[in-house]
Amino acid sequence: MGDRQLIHWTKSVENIEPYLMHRLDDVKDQEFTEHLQMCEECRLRVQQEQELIAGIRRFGRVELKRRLNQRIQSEQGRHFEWTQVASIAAAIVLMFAAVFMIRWFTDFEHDRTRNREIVFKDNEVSQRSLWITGKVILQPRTFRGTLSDRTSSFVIKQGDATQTISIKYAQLAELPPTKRIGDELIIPTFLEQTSKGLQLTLYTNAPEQSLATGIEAVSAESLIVYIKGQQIAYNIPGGWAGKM
Amino acid sequence: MQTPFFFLNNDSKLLDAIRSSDEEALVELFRQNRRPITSLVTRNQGSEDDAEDVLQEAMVVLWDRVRSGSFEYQAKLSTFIYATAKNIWFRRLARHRRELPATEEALDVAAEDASPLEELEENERIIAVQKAMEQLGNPCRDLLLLFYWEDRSMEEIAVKLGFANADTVKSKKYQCKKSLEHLVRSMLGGSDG
Repeated sequence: MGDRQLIHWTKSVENIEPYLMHRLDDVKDQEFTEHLQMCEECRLRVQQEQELIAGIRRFGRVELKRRLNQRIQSEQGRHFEWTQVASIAAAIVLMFAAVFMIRWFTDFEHDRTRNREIVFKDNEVSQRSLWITGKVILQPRTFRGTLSDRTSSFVIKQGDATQTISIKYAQLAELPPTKRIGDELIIPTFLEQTSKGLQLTLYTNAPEQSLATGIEAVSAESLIVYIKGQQIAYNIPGGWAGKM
Repeated sequence: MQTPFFFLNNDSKLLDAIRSSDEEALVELFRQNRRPITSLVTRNQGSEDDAEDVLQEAMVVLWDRVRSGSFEYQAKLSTFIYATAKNIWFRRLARHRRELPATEEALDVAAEDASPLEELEENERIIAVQKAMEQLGNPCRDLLLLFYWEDRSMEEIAVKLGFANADTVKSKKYQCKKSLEHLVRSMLGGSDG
């Protein structure tokens, strides 16, 4: 015990550091602690060293927190930028969608000959007729075909098959009431086999003169009719080339 | 209760990253724990900024514990972080209630370790050392941090800082420490011996 008191390890900082940093083995650690209890001067030296190391570690923690904060802020900044970009993109999409919708419905109200969709069922009128579905495609095209009286005739080819299709215009008022679908405003289209070939009847409230028209086959079961710069694509179940 | 393997695996990777001084692990942990800590703090009179600050301090405590080897993996890391953040926040609230000046709660929490160093109460000299470190240039600052805070060996420091060998580091460390002490003495008005 007396020897331990005389060790005075604390006279050198080289001895204090391992104690404070837990680098002494248990025996030496205990000897050191016991010595401190008896040596006031040593306790003071140890305290000074403790404070120095504590200050360095405190600086390390504060610096780590500062770096961490910087990284987080920078990441949040990036996240914020991406969020902003996404928001702007979403706003643009919504804006375009809104413009499209406004145009769509404005046009719809303004010109009832355009309708989004025409839905009829098979053979509602007669065994040799077929109500078909169509859809307006908002894309201007060059008009083809001729308009004479209220009928335009077209010869179209699809592969080896040839078919004469005539388009007949009829006023909307002439549409049989049964063909209205609720209160929805529609472009009724009626396709039927006649002795002259397929006849596509368009019911419209527009003057015939304003209807520049064309027609073309797109596939064996579809065709496109051009009306006033708009295209209406028709799907014809069973095919346009006959067999109706 | 046994920790699910998924968490163990994930936590284990994060702990390994911290052990190898990868600070990205803290950022990842920050992300993972942000929501519960924000909820904790905002439910207890704090703001989102307070929550962020508290969580950052909890990250520092975790880093410190892991790096010093005093972290014992008994539950998920998120549990440790939550408990630490809660502790920091409630200490802070208590301080404010007593109208005591705000201090670095993280340091106090870290000081809960049973080591003689960390049992230290905050005092003027410790704060002076911290400020002196800000003024100390490199390589002294890095060297002292590596040795005293990161607990690196002389050999490791030699490699990291490009010194010839461990003896050179030892000699340099002595000089750096003297410079630091000199700065501290000037800050404290030469009263410190």
